[in-house]
Amino acid sequence: MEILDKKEQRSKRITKYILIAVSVFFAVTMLIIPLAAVIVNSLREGVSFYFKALSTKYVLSALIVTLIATVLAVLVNTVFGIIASYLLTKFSFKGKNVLSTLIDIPFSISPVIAGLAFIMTFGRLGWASGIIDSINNALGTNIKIVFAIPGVVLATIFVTFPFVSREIIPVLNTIGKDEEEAAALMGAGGFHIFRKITFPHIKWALVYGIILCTARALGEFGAVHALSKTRGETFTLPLEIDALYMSGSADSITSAFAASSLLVLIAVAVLILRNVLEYRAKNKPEKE
Amino acid sequence: MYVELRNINKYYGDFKASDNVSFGIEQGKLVALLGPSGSGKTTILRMIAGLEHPDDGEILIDGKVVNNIPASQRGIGFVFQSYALFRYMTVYENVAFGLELQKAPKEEIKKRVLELIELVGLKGMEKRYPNQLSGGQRQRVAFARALAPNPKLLLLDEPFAAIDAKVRQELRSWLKNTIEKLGITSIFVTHDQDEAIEVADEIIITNKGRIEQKGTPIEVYRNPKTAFSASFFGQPSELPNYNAFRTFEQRENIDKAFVRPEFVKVTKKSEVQVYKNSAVEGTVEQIFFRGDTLELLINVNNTLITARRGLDEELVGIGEKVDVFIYRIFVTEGEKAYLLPNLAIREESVVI
Repeated sequence: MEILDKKEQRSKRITKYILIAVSVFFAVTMLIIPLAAVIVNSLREGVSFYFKALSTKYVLSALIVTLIATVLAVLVNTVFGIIASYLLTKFSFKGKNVLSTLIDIPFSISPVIAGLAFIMTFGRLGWASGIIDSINNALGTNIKIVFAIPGVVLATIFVTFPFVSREIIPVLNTIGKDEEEAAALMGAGGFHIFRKITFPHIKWALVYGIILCTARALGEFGAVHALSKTRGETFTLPLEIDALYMSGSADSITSAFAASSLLVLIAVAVLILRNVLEYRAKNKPEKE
Repeated sequence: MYVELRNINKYYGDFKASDNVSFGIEQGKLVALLGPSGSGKTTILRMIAGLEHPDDGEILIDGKVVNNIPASQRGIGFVFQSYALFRYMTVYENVAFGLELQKAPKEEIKKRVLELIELVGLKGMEKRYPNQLSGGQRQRVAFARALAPNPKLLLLDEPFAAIDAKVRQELRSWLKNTIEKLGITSIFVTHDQDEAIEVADEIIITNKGRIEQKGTPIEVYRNPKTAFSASFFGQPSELPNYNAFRTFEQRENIDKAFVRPEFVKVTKKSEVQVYKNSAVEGTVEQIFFRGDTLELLINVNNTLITARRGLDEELVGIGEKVDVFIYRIFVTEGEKAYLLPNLAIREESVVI
């Protein structure tokens, strides 16, 4: 009996080490070495070159466009995500499944197609361009969507659409309706119930969704690429990196790595933030 | 009548959850809605609370039709089966929630909340969160929270279902006493007949969306009026052919016959059986130890009958031949149920 136990234990331990080895090998070759290469390459010409590369007009403009698109996309998708997940979990109506599926479209559609779709909608041949023109005429404005910053923002919103709602929906489903019904019976109004009862439940899922949404918005390439053609004006960081890299000179390639390192650092910061929040959430489950 | 339901019908798709439900409840009564799961009892409770709406029929509370009054304005306290405590609020905040919504002065809220927390025996636990409480304590918080805004009517959905057996027993008597003390009209839903019999002043039996019978626990237990009530209460054994048991009045059109363990007298061959001529022979098939009694499964002419024997009586063994005498049975005729006493008892008393 004891010998059998020992044998079993040993085979269990071997399985564990094999699995660890495979996972570590995979993570190192596929994730850590490539990312480290970005940082190493970005510093190849020295620190001063690194900062000079980051402070060029093009890179700074790209950084600003990226931040604008990210902030707006996160704001819009957070508001929409909360509303949509509340709707999908608390109410039943015809077409609920259709709506739920629609929200997931950005997950399954190639971002380039999303970009092209916006061109076909708001571009000169698109059905909505007439509407935009008449708004511009009436207000005396000169709003442009395609090949301008609004287009970049729209594309970013499109690709990050599902992140917040997909994080919140499972949480709302598990908490059920009881607490809200109890509050409603005592006379609480809808917004009061949301703020006092529902929100504390979804708070951490919401934070997590926002972080994922942010990370995705920062890195978006395909959809934005289709809608953004002017370097130094509407380019985002990923587009600028691509442009630098494609121009082919040794200096500009190093600059491309320098700009990439920015995104890598932001991504790492976001991950650390996520883990800190997760840790805090785990350790204080009952606190508000 | 304080609460009255008139011809309530409610469908969920094709499923009829309430089928022409009508009943009334007097003020100050503690009433049980008793029935198997899926019998529509929780639906009735939720319609009274205003959490569901009847397809037709009227619900009256205190003489007023409340169909169009929203749940929040019906003045009802509701205790959920899952308690539905606010997980991110302390015990104090949970109980205070309803009072704060009524915009009561802070001092008054504090006084009432502490009073209620003391009433439910949780003094000193005001700052705890629900996940730091046991099942029984959570139930008490849910009770205090429902009572805080001074409701005129208290509704409880399976209040003891999620509590372990020992604590449940304790809470039952506690809840009964507390509700009696407060004098608040209360309705609770349960599928447990013992619970209903023990706690309620009145029992309403539901089955397949219909009301089968309403009455005091003793009434519904002793005189089941419908086939369902007769087969639901006690621990009845069905007798496919009750004519095989002697000296019962023979009737036509009888659908089914039931006998409860307390109506069965089992005697060993060596013991005295007064009604020996009316008893039939059976074989003990199984014996279960039930703590305070022995439960016997006896085969009489291929019908299995559940009976009990006290622990102070001489033991019977499996396979032993015993005499089985049945005092009374319930027979059903369509939807109706009747009690048939064993005629042997009456004859005897006439002779004496």
